[in-house]
Parts: sequence; C-alpha cells; structure tokens
Amino acid sequence: MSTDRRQLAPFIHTEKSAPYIYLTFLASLVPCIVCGIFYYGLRAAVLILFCMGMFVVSDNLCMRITHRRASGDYFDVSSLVEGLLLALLLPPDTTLLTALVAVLFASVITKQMFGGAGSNIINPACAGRLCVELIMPSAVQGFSYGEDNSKFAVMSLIFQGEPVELPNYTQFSFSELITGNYPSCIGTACLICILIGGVFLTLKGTMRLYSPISYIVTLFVLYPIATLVETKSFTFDGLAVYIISSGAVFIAVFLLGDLTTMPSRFASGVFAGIVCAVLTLVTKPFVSPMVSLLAPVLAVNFLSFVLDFFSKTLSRRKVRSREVDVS
Amino acid sequence: MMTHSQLKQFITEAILLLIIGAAVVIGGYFLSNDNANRRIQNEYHTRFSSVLDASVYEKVKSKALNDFPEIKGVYIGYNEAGLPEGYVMDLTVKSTSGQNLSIIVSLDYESTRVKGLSLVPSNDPNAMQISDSDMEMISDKLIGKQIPVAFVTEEEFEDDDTENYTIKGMKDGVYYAQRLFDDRNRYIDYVEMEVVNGVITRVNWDAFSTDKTNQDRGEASLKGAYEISGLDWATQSYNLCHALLECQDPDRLAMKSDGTTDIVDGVTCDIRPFVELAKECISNSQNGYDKTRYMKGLDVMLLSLYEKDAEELEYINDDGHVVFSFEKDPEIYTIYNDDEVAIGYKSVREIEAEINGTTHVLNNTPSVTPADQADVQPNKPADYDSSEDGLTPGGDSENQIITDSLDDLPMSEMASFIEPTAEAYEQTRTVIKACNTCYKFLKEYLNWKV
Repeated sequence: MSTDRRQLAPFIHTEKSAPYIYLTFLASLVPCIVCGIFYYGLRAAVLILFCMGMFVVSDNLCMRITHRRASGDYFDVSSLVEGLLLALLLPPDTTLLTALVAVLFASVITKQMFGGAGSNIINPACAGRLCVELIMPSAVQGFSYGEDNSKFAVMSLIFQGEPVELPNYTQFSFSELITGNYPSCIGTACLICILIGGVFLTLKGTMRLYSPISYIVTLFVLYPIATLVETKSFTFDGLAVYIISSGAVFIAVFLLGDLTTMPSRFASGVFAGIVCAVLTLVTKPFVSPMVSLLAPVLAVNFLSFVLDFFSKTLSRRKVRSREVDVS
Repeated sequence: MMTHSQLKQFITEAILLLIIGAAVVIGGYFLSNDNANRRIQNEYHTRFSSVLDASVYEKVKSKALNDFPEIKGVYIGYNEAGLPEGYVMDLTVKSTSGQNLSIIVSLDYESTRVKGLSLVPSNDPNAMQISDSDMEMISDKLIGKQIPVAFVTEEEFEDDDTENYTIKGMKDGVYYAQRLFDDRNRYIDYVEMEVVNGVITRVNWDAFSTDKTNQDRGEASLKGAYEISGLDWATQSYNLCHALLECQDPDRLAMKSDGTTDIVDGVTCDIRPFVELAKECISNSQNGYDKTRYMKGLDVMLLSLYEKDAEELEYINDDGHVVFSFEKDPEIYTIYNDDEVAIGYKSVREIEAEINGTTHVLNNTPSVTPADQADVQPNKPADYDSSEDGLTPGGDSENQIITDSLDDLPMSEMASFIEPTAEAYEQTRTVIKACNTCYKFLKEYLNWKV
C-alpha cells in the first residue's frame, strides 16, 4: 500500500491547476513548433530548445538565489511555456547570444523580479522579444528564405548574418500565407497552425476570448482608416495580408489570450483588446512592425489590473443600484 | 500537481496536435509550393529575361561562391526542353576608382561567350553611372566574346604569341646596371643581362654589400643570414629572372604600385629594383652601352667626384663590381622637378653623357627609369606615381598598354580582346572586370583545368 498521502487540497474544486494550464498552452503551441522546424530546420529546433532550457535554468537560479525555490514535487512549467513563446517570436536566423539576452531579460527582469510564475504583470516572452528588438534591432533581422534558406544551416546560431529585408508580402499567394510558406518569425507564420492552437485552448477552457476577438475585429475595422491616412490607398488584399502575415493572429491567440497578464473580466478584456489594436495601428507607421505589435501588448498588460478594478467596481455599482430599485 | 490521467491526456493531445500540425504544414507546403515556385520564376524572368531568355532559372548553390563575395547569385537558365541555355550572374564589382557597378551578366552554357549584359538599378550613392548609349556600345563590343576579356594592345603586343615576343632594337652583348645607392641593409642591387640575337638569354639579379666582408645577398639568403618573408631571396630572384627570360619585358611582370607582383609564382619580395635595373639594361642594350662601357661610366662618375677611378679608390671587389654608394652625392643621379623635388633617377649612361657634355640618342622605346619618364614629361611626375596597377604609365586611356595580368588573370589566359569604348574607358574596364569575375567563378565552380 502506498504511503504517499499527497493529494489535491480539499478547497480546490477545479481540474485546471497551474501545471494543467501551462501544459495545455504548451500543447497548443505544438503545431507552430512543427511549422517552424519544417520551414527553418535544425536552427529553429536548436533555438526553441535553447530558449526553453535557458528559461528553466534562469528561473530556477533566480528562485534559488531569492530562496523562493519550490518544493521538489512541483516543476514550474511556465518557464518552458515562456521560453517556447519567446523562441517562436524570434526570426529563424537569430544567434544564440541574442536569444540568451531575450531570455534573461524576460526571466529575470519581467518575471522573477515581480515574484515569479503567476505574479508577473507583463508577459515575459513579449517583453524579452521587445527588448532585443529595441536594443539590438539588427540582430533580429535574420529572415533567410527561399533558395537561401537551408534546413541544415546552423552557422547563423553563432554568427550574426547580414540583415535581410523582408519581401513585400502582397506578392505571396493566399495559400502560401495561410500555410506559413513565407519568411517570418519561427512560429508566427502559419495561420492554420495558430488557429488550431487557439481552438484547442478554447476547447480546454484555458484561454479568454474577449481580448483576442476584440483585437482582431478592431484591426479589421480600423486598418482601412489607418492605411488611408498613412498611404492614401486601401485594398482588401492588403488588409488580409497584414492580418495574416504580420503575426497579429499569433499575438492575439497566445499573448492576448493569456490568463495571467490580461484582464479577467469581459468588459475589461474587450476594452484591452480594442486599446491594443488601436495602439498597434497608431504606432505602425513610426516603429518597426514587431515593436508596433508587441509594445501595445505590454501596455495593456500594465493596464489590465486597473481595467479589472474599474470593471468590477462598475458591475458592483450596477448590482447595488438594482437592489435599491427592487427595495 | 497534475493527476496521472491529466498527464496522459496531455500527452495524447500533444501527439494529436503534432500529427495535425505536421499534416497541415506538409500538406500546405505542397499545396503552396507551386505558387511559390511560380512567383520565384516570375521574379527571375523579370530580372533576367533581358540577358538570357530561358524557360526556367535555377539558382546555383556552390561553396565556390564563398570566395566571390562580389557575386550575389548565379543561376542556370534552362529552355523548355530542360536543356541548359546559359549562366546568369548577378554581381557588384568595384571600379578602379572605387565605385560600385551592379550588373547582370549572362554567358552561353557551352562556350561561355557573353550573351547579355544588363545594369541593375541601384540606390547606392557610390554607384557607377553608365549612360544607356555607353552601355549599348560596351555591350556591342562584349556580347559574343568569350571570357575572360582584356583590352587589345596596340603598341607593345605586336606579336600575340607570347613565346616569340621580344623588345625591338636590342643589340647582342652583356649588359649591366647597378643601383647608385645602397639599401637599408647596405646592399647595392645589380642586374646583369645577356642578349643573343635580340633575345634576352641570361639574367642575373643579386646585390653586393658595401661592407666587403659580407656575402652577396643571394649567398647570404641561402645561408640564412638574410631573411625575407616567403621563399628565400635567392630562390625568388631566380624565379623572377626566369620569368623575365620567358616574357622578355620587365613591363610584363605586372609590377604593382607597392613593388610586388602577383603573376610570378613564389615571388613576394619587392621587385622594383629588379624591374628598374632590367629596364636600364634593356635601354643600354638598345644603345649599345655594354657592361664594359657601364663600368667605365662609373669610373667617369668617380673621377668627376673624387678625381680617381674605382681601381685607384679600391672600390672594386673580387667579382669586379664597383662597391660604392653615391648616396652622399645624390644630386649626381637624382632628377629634380622645378620645385626641387626628387622625381626619379638618371641612368649611368645619362650621367656619363652629362659629365662628358655629349648628347645621348634615345630610341623610340619608352624608357624605363623615372629619369626617362621625367625626360618625356618633366612637369608631370604624378602621372608616373599614380599609374594604375597592371597598366603601363604614361599612355592615354585609349592606348593603355596592358601588362601580363588583368583582374588577377594572366594575359595568356585571355580568350578575347576588345578596344575600350571611347570616353567610357573606366566603365568598359569595370564591365570587363565583371565578366572576368564570372570567368574566375566558373573556373573554380566547374574546376576547369586552364
């Protein structure tokens, strides 16, 4: 007879524990991993494993140093998820050094300094990616593709190559764009894979849809206006290409659907999604595409607890006023 | 913590997602790959159809490309039957003035003749500008020519057969020339040359030390007392003398502005003393000024300075060389311009003629020393100093005489010769450089045994 009497605490009434949520998240990213490795080969696989491994090492070291190390029977899966998310947001020809900088910033500054898993205000992967985009922009421009792309090339992991100018995506066919057959970050290219991950998360109940849907809808609605203001011309093709190829869908599903850093209430979630989309479109003409996508996410991460607070207060006031009316 | 059933469920779901993801990605790849290929081919057609009309272009992936950073891409064009039509190379080469020329060159697959040339529009502020009319003229000259290409020579290369090439007007005999000053190692270079039937049959380049107890430079280098980078100096001297016997003209040794040459195997030392002294020997030969007269000329110089000849001054070593450096009397052998700046050196023959008050008859062959350059163009010493590597100084652009190498290719390897386009010499030269770069790549890529 087993002497192990450990079991779930009696006050927990849900199966959705933290490891369950993180592992579900991890599983939802599997199609994107497959896509990245299929198109970019060995270097993508190495980058993914490196980021995940280094994130785990960094998180554990930080917890050891700050004496917050979890007991031996709990493994913090969030490190794996954050490392994976970060790797999928990197271009395929990123050096390991650049990836390490991103991981350390994400792990130490944005996650552990705020108390570790579940306590971080902003999304660590998003912050890490934004950090390298801002401090070493030429290091995250490695998008070799087409005949220059070799699945077995690994030198780019060590030596930084020349920045590659991304092509005009409007010349790519719709089938290329939705299947990820175009130069992009490791995991953000394949629309179908991202949507499969999103559907899986929704079915498992580990994703809030308010923000992602409001974000995408706002982009659809406001993109024509933003483009008309910016370039004085608009085409529906351009809208579709932007939504599919920019990485906006990946950000909507995996960053704005996050349970930890995004507002938990419906109204605040919708509002956060709208604000994020508006900020993206406003900043798009002035900053690099990746900054215009990631910086608004961090902005709404910062705002999320404020939005939740106001949303909760407003709904309580409504309930109280109804009670007064009834009485 | 997760329960076992949750863990099992997670693994099952992850595997399921892996399978679905793989199916989507692989299926999507094959579904979209036709479009991707079509798009790439359309792009190639837009870029290359003006130089090579092919049905399909295929990019060449070769390690040889690593050695040619100026080549951005190499493609093979195939016709509808799938047979190769030619090569297309996209490259950016630097002109001699440092400007960048982006150009697409197409070559016939079998004969490697130039099939087409097209300039690539560039936003580079340092881009070389070639007008449409000039480009048309350059294309007319180059299209159909087999690479590598060089400019035709109109004066020196009267005979294209390198083996039979000789400099005109050389008289038979033994000729000699030595430097009138020693180098920093206290060596005085000398060249001795024998001419038989107008052909240089023997050349010796060595240096004796002004310290009579020291060995000659060649001997010292063999014993390790005189060291330079690369092969020992004696071997390099031998190789260079041998190269001169083969090419018969010091100009064809392609001495660069830094005094080195790329075309003689194993020679890395400064060959300027050799080239200048060999030219002096040739000039002496053309004027019948043999070794005996040369030695008398040195005596005349010493007599004019010290009123004693070399023998009386005991400046003659065991080998009969006059071991004396005139560096304390530079005015006797130096040519100055109007600003009293030294621009070259006189030969012993000229100095002797000056001292004796006689006028020396110079023949038509361009003389070789800076002194003679100064005679021809006394007010333009810069023309000599700034002359382009591999080109003989002094000629106008249309009649530039090319030495034995061009774009690091020996002239003997050149397959075609063209005349430069009038008023677009630099542009023509740069386009030729692009063509020759293509040749060098193909030579390495196809492992040609030239």
